[in-house]
Amino acid sequence: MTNRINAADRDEVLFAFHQAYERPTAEQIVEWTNRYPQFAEDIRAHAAVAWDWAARPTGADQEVDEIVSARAYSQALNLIYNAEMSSAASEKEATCRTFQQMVAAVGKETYLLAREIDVGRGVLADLFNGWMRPPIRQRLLDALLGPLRTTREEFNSALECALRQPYLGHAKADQAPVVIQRSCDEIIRGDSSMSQDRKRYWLEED
Amino acid sequence: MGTKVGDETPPKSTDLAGWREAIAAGRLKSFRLEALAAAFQDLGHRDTQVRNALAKHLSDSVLGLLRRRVSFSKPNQGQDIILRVQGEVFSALLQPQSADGRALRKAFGPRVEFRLKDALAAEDRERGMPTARKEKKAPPAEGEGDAEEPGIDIDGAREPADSDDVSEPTCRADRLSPQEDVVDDLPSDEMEKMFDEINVEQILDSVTDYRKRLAFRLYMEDVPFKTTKENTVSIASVLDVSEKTARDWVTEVRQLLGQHQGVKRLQQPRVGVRS
Repeated sequence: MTNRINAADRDEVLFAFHQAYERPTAEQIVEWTNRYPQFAEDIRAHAAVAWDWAARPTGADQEVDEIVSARAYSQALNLIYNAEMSSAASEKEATCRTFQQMVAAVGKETYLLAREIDVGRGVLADLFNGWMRPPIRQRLLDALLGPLRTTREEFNSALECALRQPYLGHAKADQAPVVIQRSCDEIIRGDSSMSQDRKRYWLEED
Repeated sequence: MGTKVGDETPPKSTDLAGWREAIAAGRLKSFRLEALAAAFQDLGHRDTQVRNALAKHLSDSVLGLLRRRVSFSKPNQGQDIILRVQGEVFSALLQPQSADGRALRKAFGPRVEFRLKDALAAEDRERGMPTARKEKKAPPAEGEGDAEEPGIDIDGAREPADSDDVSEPTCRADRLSPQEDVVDDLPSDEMEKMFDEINVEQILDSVTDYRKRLAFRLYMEDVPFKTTKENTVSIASVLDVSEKTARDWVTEVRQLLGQHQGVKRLQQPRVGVRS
């Protein structure tokens, strides 16, 4: 057995086994299954494939079907595209300051902030959780910039972040959590804690 | 004489201009795949055309490596597993920090083959997983079991993986009558001679249980079923089963081979051959 095997990681063990023997003998299989009993069945399955390969000469390079080649290339391009999208999203998220971070930075809680600007706490909770579809009413936005000590750009960036990764809440016993996004106006109108006057105010209908 | 892979020194993995030139001159084939993998990772999306050209060359190279190893007798002529492994390789290429992502820069071919071996082994294991214990079967009806081409019905999935109880045969070959069991009494050296004349591998392909294939291959190498000798291994110890299970597995495969028309023909007197 080679000394380079020192980690009990499955891939490392199996790759080392793959590298070590083109066609492992019975003794070698037993030696490795004894040494790595946790991967014993994997080692046997790999050994069986190794024997299959050894029994079938590979010969010259095989011609690859053009259709398969096109499908494989298309699959590769899709993976590249997905990786780029995911990387771009992670970069944005890494630079994004969330609403929750803004609230924490000014030493407040959502309900205190709601009380301060006299809006229903549910309205702010929906906004911060990513459940409020833009556009956001200008009056609400202006009212929040000061207490959150933030800029319009940073606010918009936090809004994008929240919408991209909304808070999911708790799953029900029989279904996964779902996010139902509503418009700013719908949320304001549906808030039961505000008077009709306050609703009209935030809907800019006064 | 044509340029061989690895003949030329590739540009540095971060040398975008160098790779642009190499692509324009159609020189990618002369570079080692490890160099292409490193360039693909290090250049990233700096130049879409370069990235796509590298991706295309790597994709075709991976397909070539896989096609050499995947039997056409696999489902969909092996294309499904080939595309699956090709996808795994590309996912790894796109994650340079992953173990596979790093390994592809050092030993591209061996890593691709390892991923394929792992995928084939996983497929084998999946098929070899015990489902439910079989119910006791009624004896086969007359004529049943000899009408179809042999082999396609062998199903290791129904074999209890860790049980020594092999009272239930798992392949159609077991339903053969003694007369049809044409190879069961042949010594292994005669079998070997006979197997040289038929495509044994094609038949073994139909044995979906890797443990049975391995048991048979070890048997053909004269590994004993069981031994009491110290420091000597046996088929039973390799596969961690009882001697009876090991014997039954080998018998199953031998009987399957015996069902093959080619073997039957070999058993018949041939014209022009002295008896």
